[in-house]
This record gives sequence, structure tokens and C-alpha cells, in this order.
Amino acid sequence: MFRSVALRAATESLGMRSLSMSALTRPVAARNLRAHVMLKTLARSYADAAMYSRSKPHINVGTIGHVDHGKTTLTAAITKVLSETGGATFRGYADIDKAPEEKARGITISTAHVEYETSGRHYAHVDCPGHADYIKNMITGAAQMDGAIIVVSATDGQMPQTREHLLLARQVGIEKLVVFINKADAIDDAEMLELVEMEMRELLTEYGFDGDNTPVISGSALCALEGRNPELGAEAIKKLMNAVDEHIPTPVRDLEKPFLMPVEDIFSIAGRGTVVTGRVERGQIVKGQELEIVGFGAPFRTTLTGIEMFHKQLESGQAGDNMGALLRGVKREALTRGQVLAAPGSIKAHNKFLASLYVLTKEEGGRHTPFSDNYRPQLFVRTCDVTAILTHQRGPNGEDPPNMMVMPGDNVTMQCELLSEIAIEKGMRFTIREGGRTVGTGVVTELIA
Amino acid sequence: MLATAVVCRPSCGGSIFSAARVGFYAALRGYATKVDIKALKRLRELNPVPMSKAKEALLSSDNDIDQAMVWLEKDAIQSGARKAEKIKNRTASDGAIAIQVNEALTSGAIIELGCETDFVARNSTFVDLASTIARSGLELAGHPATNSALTQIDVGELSARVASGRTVADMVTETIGRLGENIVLRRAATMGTPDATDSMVVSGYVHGGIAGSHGASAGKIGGLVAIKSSVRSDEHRRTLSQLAGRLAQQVVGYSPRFIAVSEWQAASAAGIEGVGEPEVTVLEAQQFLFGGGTIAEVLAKVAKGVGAPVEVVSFVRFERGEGVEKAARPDFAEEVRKQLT
Repeated sequence: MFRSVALRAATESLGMRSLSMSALTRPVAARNLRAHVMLKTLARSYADAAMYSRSKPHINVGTIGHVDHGKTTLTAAITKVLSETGGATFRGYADIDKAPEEKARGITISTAHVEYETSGRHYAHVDCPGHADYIKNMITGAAQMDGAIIVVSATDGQMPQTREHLLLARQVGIEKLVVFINKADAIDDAEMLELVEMEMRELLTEYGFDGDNTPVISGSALCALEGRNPELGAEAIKKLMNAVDEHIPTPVRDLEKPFLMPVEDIFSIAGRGTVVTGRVERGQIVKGQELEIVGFGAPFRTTLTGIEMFHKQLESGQAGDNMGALLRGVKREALTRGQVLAAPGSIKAHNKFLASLYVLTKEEGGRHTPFSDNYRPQLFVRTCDVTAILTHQRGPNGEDPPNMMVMPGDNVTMQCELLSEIAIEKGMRFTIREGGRTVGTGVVTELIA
Repeated sequence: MLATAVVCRPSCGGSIFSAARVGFYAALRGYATKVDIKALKRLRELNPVPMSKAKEALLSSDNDIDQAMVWLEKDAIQSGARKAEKIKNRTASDGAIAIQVNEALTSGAIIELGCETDFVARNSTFVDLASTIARSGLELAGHPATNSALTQIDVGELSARVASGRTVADMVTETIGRLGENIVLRRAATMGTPDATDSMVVSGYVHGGIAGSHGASAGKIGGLVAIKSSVRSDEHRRTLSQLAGRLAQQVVGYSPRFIAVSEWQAASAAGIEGVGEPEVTVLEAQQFLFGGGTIAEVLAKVAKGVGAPVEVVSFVRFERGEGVEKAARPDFAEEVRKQLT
């Protein structure tokens, strides 16, 4: 038992504080565990709600396609077909239970999602009106897509803007797609359907996807919705969802990732040593394991000799826990808020990287005016707050880009240089602030140094 | 034979012939009964029209690609017009701003072309169309005598302009047929004069520009600025052109409402609302984005350099979707829910 009163006070206050810090980087999956609004007309019985197994892996998918190719109809058809075997719910934008921090952050994202589940997985399905909305979602992490269903009508085939759809999928980091050729009931020539498929495969390959092995399913969402022509209707939808189940990989869950806990507070406990408090971001840890402390100076290793949570000593801790970690042989002075305790070798400190940024608009509480090269806001990530220097990427011979002005509402890739090295990895999200208000959010796309 | 025709979705309006029905007509008129899939693929590569349209073209041309190309060419405006009619009420609040400046840098045109999604706004077909229309707009600069100042162009007049043998309106219609979204030429303006010996220097800036296939770009906000100075040397005109380009960027970034403080004073005195602080709403009083003090100070410095006064004659700023009433889009979940009931 740690005897320090200070530590108890610290662990008690942790709940509130760590929530506010982590809200900015919290993955969307966590939010999906919240209350649901069941749609009565759909569910066979209200008792189905109880059948929802939260232990199923959760996947975020999206539909991308031309406005007239039937994305909404397809989503409705998936929902209908799966509701007959599993379940589905709707969450309008207003329904999404947002943490107060996010409301305060005030980024408007025009999306809402529909949830459904197959026998193996639970899905949140989003559909954004445009490219910019998807990019914003990706950067803020509001509705990160693990995979996408590209919808293309059999009567039209791919359209000129299908290229933009695939470019978008690339840009938001989607590696696996499934193609649904909709309105197949309007085509009586099997060869034409094959051509639509062949063209899609060629285009997928051209844009860096695995065109040969991407599942392409033909069917009719309308038939499925209206309960006719089962071969092109319900059966095609089932085939599609099987393909989605199989082809789009399940993201690694937080618990399965290497251990990481950001340092929030540090205490010296007489007779025991140094205790660090924080909320475990990912992974699991057992008393006695080795840890590495990364950020603000050279990394060093130590051993976790004790774990305390809510005044109880525990043998292990895991993602989501607020815990106190007793570290062997570490001086209080060697630690600082913003460092992380991590599984040795799992994360490194960096101070230079490329990031995709979304700059908040005036209406979202952001800046009123543009900024240019060499912009110096504060960068916040986990429990860390450090000055960043944002510059534009130079050409191969160091030449300035033609345009360096960044306006509120822009999505832009910039180089970030931090005044101190901190634990950073690709895909990490952060916010940028100035004068106490959030002016942008970003995601690390490439580490430089 | 006709009785075997497959049931067609009501939405396809009979445009997709069943093999049987085509066969029936083919017997009478000597058309191909079945589309040659290889030819269909090739035709779509040459002209990316909807699949069913490409098929129709080939069936009407005995699977001859060249003839089918001609057929499509003839059909483009007609089928575009049909599509346009069908979707004309859909809100086109996305889109792009395109700018063109003439070679002598004495005139410029800016246009806003609206569409439904930014996927289409980013497509090169759309970007090319926007820049072609801006080029057509350029021909209207200084006609009739407009004192070289900013002139709003009537959209109807611009739509009737002919470029490469077709009117702007027809080009828009064809593109609607090709991209399947409502496309609207929303507004256009010009400044300057076609007179290459004029002392005007015009330059523009498009923010968030996406390059089309001919190098021109279109983006979400555009600014056009005309400055005037009596200097004639090429070197000085290059300096002034760079300055005008940067001022256009300033206009895009800081949305001024007035050129000079005197205009602001007049507006204030007239009791016009929302004139703001001069440092915010007056271009010359704003801090220059590229440093060197206020715009007025920068102009004075440049004037000293070129040896003649430099003044801003006019500016204009277009932001896409500005003033367009965005239809309250029910959220996605709501739309899906509606389809199910």
C-alpha cells in the first residue's frame, strides 16, 4: 500500500483530468460503446438489443461513390438484410453522445452513422457528403474508416470522379476496399457487368489498390430493400458483407498493442520511491515488467515494482485504467509530465514529422485570419504540451512552394518541428492551440527525425 | 420476340434495350444485335460516357468505334440536357472558382462554377470546364467601355459565348451528362482592358487550387486585383504583376471590403452597417501578408522602386457557395432510415 495521501488525492482526481486530456485523441470505438437508439420498425424484437455483443470486434466502414449510384439505398439494404439475422441501429448526428470536451472543441463534421453487425463483427457505417468531410474525419479521428465500400452503378460504370473517390480512400489511409456494383438488375447483358467489374479492377490497380484481389460484388440494393429478386437482392447483400468481413482487416485493439501510459503527475513517496500517475492509453502491464521512459531527453529503462488503483494494489493494469505506477530506482527529477511509460522499444522520441492538419474555421472557434510558413502554435498530445514550428515542405532543391498561405477551413500537409523530443508515432493525433484556444487538429503521417 | 424483353427498372426509361428488342429492330434496320464488349471498353476509354450510353452508341453504329464516337458527339448535348433537366433542382453549393488573366496582364476574369460535391469539383473535367469558361469571360473584359474597373458579367451573356465551336451553355450541359451532377455557372466578373498597351496590371490567386489537365487550376476561393502605374518596362511590369498576385492573395486571405480609407470613411458617413475597423476591412490599411507594413506602405515602397505611383484600381473576391442557400441535408442515418420505411 502506498502511504502517501498525496498519491491518493492524485489518483482520485485522475478520472476527471485524464478524460479531458484523452478526449482529443480518444479513438472513435470508445464512443460507440455508448447508448444506442434502436429502430423499432427494423428490429424483429426489442429484445434484440440485448443480443448486441460488445465483445465483437468493431469496424468503421464508409460508402464512397457518385451521388446517384445508391449509397443510401445500399446502406439501408445492408441494414435491412442484417436486421433479419442480427441487428442494426441508427445514430443521427444529434444522437451521438458527445463528451463535453468535444462539444467545446466544436468541429462541425457533417456525418452520422448507422450501426449493424454481422455474425463476426460490429460495424459503424458512415457516409460523408464530400472529400473534405472525409479528410476532416480522418484528421480529427471523428470517424476514421478502417475500410470502404466503393459503390458504382452498373448502368453508368465508373465515372470520371471515381478517380477522386479512390484518391480519397488512399488519402485517408484505407488499404482494403470492397466494390459493390449496384443496379445490376437494370443490365441484361452479363458481359457488360463483367466489363464494369474489369474497369473497376484496372482503376483500383492504377490507384495503388490490389485490383486483382479486391472483392467485387454485383447486385441491386433496391431489390434487397424491396424484398424481390433475392439473387441480386438479399443474397448479394449477404455476399457483400461476407466480403467486407473477410477482406477488411480488423484493426488491432488497444488491449493488444504494446503498453503505453502518458505521465500526468509524479510523486515521491518516502521509503518507497517514485510514483507516476496516468491513464493507460493501450496495452497491458504486469507488476515486475520492464518499462521505458520516453520523451524529453534520452530514454531510459526501469522496472514497474507496484501498481495502485483506487487505493488498492494490483498485479496488472490495462488500457483505460487510471493507475499509479511505482518505478524502481528513478529519481523524481528524472521524470516530467508529457513523457510516456512504454513497453521497451515500442515507441521512440522524435521532434520532426510531417502531419496532415485541419485548420478550424472562425465558426468552429478557430483563427479568423490565415497563417503562413513558420507558424508557431502550441502542440498538445496526450499529457504533453510543446511549442511547434510549422513549415511548408520545400521542393527537391529547397524551393519554396507556390502558395504558403493556410486559411481557416483548410486541410494541409506541413512539417512540424518540436522544441523538445516527445514520444511520437505515425497515426498519432494532436491538437494545435494558440492563446488558449484550439486552432487545429492534426495527424502524424510521416516521421522525419 | 418483344415479349421476352427483360423488365426494365422504371428509372432507366427504356434507354437500355434488351437484346431481344434490339434484335427485332436490327433485323429491320441492319444494326448490330449485340454490343462488342471490346469495342465498348475501348469507346469508354476514348470517351468516358455512362456505360449504357456507350452501349447505345455502339449498337446504333454497328459496333464501329469511330461511328460511335460521332454518335456520342451528336448525342452529348441532348442526353446532357435530359440529365440536366432531371437534376436541375438539386443544390449545387460546392464547386470551384477559376481565374484567367490575358497575356499582356491588362485584363482578368473570375468565374464561379457550382456543382454538388467536391469530388466533382476536384475532377479535371470540371476544372478544365471552369478554366475554359473563365477564358471565355476574359473576352468580355472591357466590352463595352467599362472604365477598366470591376464589372459583373451577366451569366446569360457568358453562357452564350462560343469557344471551340460550342457555347459555354452547351459545354456545361455536356459536362452534366458526363459527371451526372447539377452544374451551374453562378457568377462572373472581369476587370481591366484587352488593350495590351494599357497601364493596368491584373493578377489573380486561387486558394486550394486543383490543377486540371491543361495546367490551369480552380479552387475554393479566388481573388483578382488590378493595379495601375504608368511604368512600361517589362521588368517593372513583372514586379507589378508579382505585387498584384500577392495582393490577390491578401484579398483572398483577409477579405477586405474597401480599397482605401477614404472609401471606408464615405461608407461610415453614409451609415452603412458592418464596415468594421479600417485595419480589418480596408485593403490599404491591412498588414501585408508578406510583411513590410501596411498595404499602403508597401505600395509606396514599390512606387519608389519603379519610379512612378502605384495604385490599386479594383479587387474582387469569390468564395465558392457564397450566398447559396444550402439545403438542410438530413443526416445520413436519417436518410437511410427514410428508405427503410
